[in-house]
Amino acid sequence: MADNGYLSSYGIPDTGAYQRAADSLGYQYTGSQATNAYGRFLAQSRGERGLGDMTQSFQRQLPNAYAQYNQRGLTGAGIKSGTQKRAMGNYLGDYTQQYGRAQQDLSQDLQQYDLSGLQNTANYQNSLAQLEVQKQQEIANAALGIQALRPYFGAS
Amino acid sequence: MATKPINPYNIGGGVIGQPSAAKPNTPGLIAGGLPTEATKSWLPTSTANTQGDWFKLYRDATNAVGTGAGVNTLLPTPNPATKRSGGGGGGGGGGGGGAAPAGLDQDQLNWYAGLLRGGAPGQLTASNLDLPDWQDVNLTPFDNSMYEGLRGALSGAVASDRAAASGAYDQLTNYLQSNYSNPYESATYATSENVPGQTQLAMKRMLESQGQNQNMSNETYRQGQSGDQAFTGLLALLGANEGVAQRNRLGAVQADRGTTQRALDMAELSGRTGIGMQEGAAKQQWQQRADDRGLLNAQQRAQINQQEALANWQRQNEVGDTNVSNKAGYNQSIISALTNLLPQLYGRGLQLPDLAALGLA
Repeated sequence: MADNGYLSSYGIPDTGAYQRAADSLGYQYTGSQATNAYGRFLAQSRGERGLGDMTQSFQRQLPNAYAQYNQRGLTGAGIKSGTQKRAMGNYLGDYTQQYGRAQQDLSQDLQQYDLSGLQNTANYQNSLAQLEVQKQQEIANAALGIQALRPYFGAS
Repeated sequence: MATKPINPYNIGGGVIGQPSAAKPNTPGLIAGGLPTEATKSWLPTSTANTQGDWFKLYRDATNAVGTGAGVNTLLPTPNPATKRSGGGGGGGGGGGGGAAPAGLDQDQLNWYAGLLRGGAPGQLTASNLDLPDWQDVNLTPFDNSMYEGLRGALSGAVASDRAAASGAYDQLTNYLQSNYSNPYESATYATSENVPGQTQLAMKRMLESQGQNQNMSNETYRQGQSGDQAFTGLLALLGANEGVAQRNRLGAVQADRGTTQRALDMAELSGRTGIGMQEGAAKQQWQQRADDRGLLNAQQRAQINQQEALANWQRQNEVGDTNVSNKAGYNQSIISALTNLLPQLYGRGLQLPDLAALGLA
């Protein structure tokens, strides 16, 4: 709740206090969003770097894998053994699985940042709405200052 | 004064010297001394007969009763020459009454009657006392302008507060509606489709180029899509929660608006009640003073009316007493004068003055 200041003690709505509170919320919101966005950027960078490293490693290891089966005479010109195909299938399958999971991890990390950003926005808007409710409520209640005149009308 | 035809013999309903047809063989009417019991019985009493009245007067004087009391009733002795049937003869003229006038004719008698009548007392009339009417001194009407002013000030204050409160709630509603956006509904977020790195299509091409089944990575991507769906579901839930929160805020605004208006209603009612009670108390005090003043005015009017009534009553009684006294004195003097005159009238055939003309009837 906003610090309404000394004016409220006289039944006068201090709308300036609410504006200051709104400004503070905005400041906090932008700061949080910036921090979240930067964290997302770092996470994405790390993920991309990992994926890139994974691809690079795969590409570097792929010739060696084929070469290993060639040395064993399991392959050659016009020759493709079932053993080699299965082995390479496992190799490539492992790679695509690991790569896909890495992408999922990255995606979920990024979703975590996205969610935080959305929650920050929702909290910011909700806080602003609550602040506005309090402000207008105080303005409306200040209208009940007519009750201060009750002694002059003979009411207790 | 009207006079009747002179009949010298018709005295008392009969003719002197002749027997009366109505009363034959009656003794002589006019005789010296007191009448006998027999003569008293037929003495005329009718006031319509002037001469009869004179005899009545004579009778009363003789009997010392009525208006004839104290009147000298001594009559001279009738003239013996007067013929009468029966009865004793009258006495001679003169006597103790002094010398009779030589001759009193009808004109003189009438003049004398007129003279006597001229001495009749006037009838006094009482004039009523009319004191100045009491001018009521009333209070000025009750002045409620101060209370009307208070009511007007209260109405103005309440109206101003209603406008301020309504304006505040209108602004709040407008703010909430115009500034509302659900961040979860139009969110952009990472998915397995737009994640950095190789796409699923690229991976399939790679597998195909290596002579492998391009669908061997489908399960992994399916898991990624499942993760995306879970995240989308989470955002939908949060988005729905935001929508509920917005509707709750708007509903709360309406509730607060109503509460504020009711509070203003109560404040106005309380104020008007207080003003009314103050006005009622003041009006009661004013009414008390007005009633006291009304009583004072009524007392003043009653006092004056009482003074007038008492004075008029006293004056009317005084006038009435005076009139009666004057009339009695006049009557006495008339009777006395005419009684003394009777001897002179006897036997002269004069028409006696009418009693009414003399003011005696």
